[in-house]
Amino acid sequence: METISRWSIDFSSGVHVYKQIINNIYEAIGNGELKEGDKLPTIKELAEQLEVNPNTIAKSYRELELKGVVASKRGNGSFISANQQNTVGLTDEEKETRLNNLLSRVIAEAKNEGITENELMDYIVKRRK
Amino acid sequence: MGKFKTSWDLFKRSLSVMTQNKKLFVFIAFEIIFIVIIALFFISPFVLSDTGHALTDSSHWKILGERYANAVKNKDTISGTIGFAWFAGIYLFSMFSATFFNVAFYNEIIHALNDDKVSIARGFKTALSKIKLIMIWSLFAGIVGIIIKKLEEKLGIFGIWIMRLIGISWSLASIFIIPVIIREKKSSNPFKLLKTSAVMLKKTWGETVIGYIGIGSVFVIFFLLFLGIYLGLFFTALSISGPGGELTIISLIISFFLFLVSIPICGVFSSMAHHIYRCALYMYASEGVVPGPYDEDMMNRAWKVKKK
Repeated sequence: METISRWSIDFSSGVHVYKQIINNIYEAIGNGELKEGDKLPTIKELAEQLEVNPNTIAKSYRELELKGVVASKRGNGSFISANQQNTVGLTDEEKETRLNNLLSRVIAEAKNEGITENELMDYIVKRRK
Repeated sequence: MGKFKTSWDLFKRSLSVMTQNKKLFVFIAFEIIFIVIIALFFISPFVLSDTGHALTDSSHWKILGERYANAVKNKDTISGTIGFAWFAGIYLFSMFSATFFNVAFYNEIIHALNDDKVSIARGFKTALSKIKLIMIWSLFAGIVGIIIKKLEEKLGIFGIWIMRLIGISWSLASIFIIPVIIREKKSSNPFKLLKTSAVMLKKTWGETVIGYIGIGSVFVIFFLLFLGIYLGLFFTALSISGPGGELTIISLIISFFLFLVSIPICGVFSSMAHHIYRCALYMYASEGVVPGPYDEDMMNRAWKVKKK
């Protein structure tokens, strides 16, 4: 899988590897590189590729499964879930809560990396242009 | 009892990695051989110094003994440019070789904790691929070590304690340096390596302290156990045959020999447990998951014991 072969892990970033894997998957979904129904590599394959502990991959997949981003089919592996981007039917209040949670996570991760809120804001504005 | 049970659990699980991956013992053997070689390098200028007698002559060793006693009495330190250069050269070389072997060893401990098969060739191949980073780090750490040592020699008692505290802080901050070197892909800046190691320590300092005290205490208990056996055998033999009896002497020699042998063996096992536990903690800090034979519950238990 070409998308996954580009994933890289920065062990010195201070961000837990399992979170970096989750972020990579979110980014790939956001970029459209991973779509609904796409199969993710097995735990063993990804652990070997990224040279990390298999439990770490399992934790990333588990967390994504809890959030509904990934669905596991027994014996078939893990797939990008159908409802991972589904916000249809949510009230404005629910959407705001989701967005707020997402932003809090992004700000916390950025802070962990030594990036200020202003720098983050500048980057978001620059990315939109 | 709870504290010891947790410590024993940590010790057992750390050693289980070793017993399930016996090839890891090869790295320890290499390390011991190198320590002996380095030690011989260190003492060779003193042992081979001119006394006017042959090495096989007992007078040579007697003179060396007197010189050593005088040096201790006069609190002599290494002086002169050649002496300092020799000391610094050997010190830096020993730093480099220790780091090189540890990179190979830790790389395979990490693989073992990842449920991979251990490979001696892969371990040394990784160390070779990191040779530049190992050299930079060894030079950096070696220079810091020499500066601390030199300042300790020059400062008064207050300064010595400050330098010792700095030395301890340095050792703590660089505790995860070997796995950091293994996994560093971009930077060769020693300050960045040190910072990463310190960040990992910050994340797991509770588990690090408890693990080290726990595994260390298992070693102390074994040491006391062997000492008890030795003294028990000695006094039993003494009470049976009386002072100077043949049985006493034989018993003394055998039990003392066993005692002497048991200490380095305990030391090797304790050191192996420390190495494995350190790798597991590094993985816990960097990946966010407890690897191998350890589990999160056990780590939390260890930490809660401390909190009481």
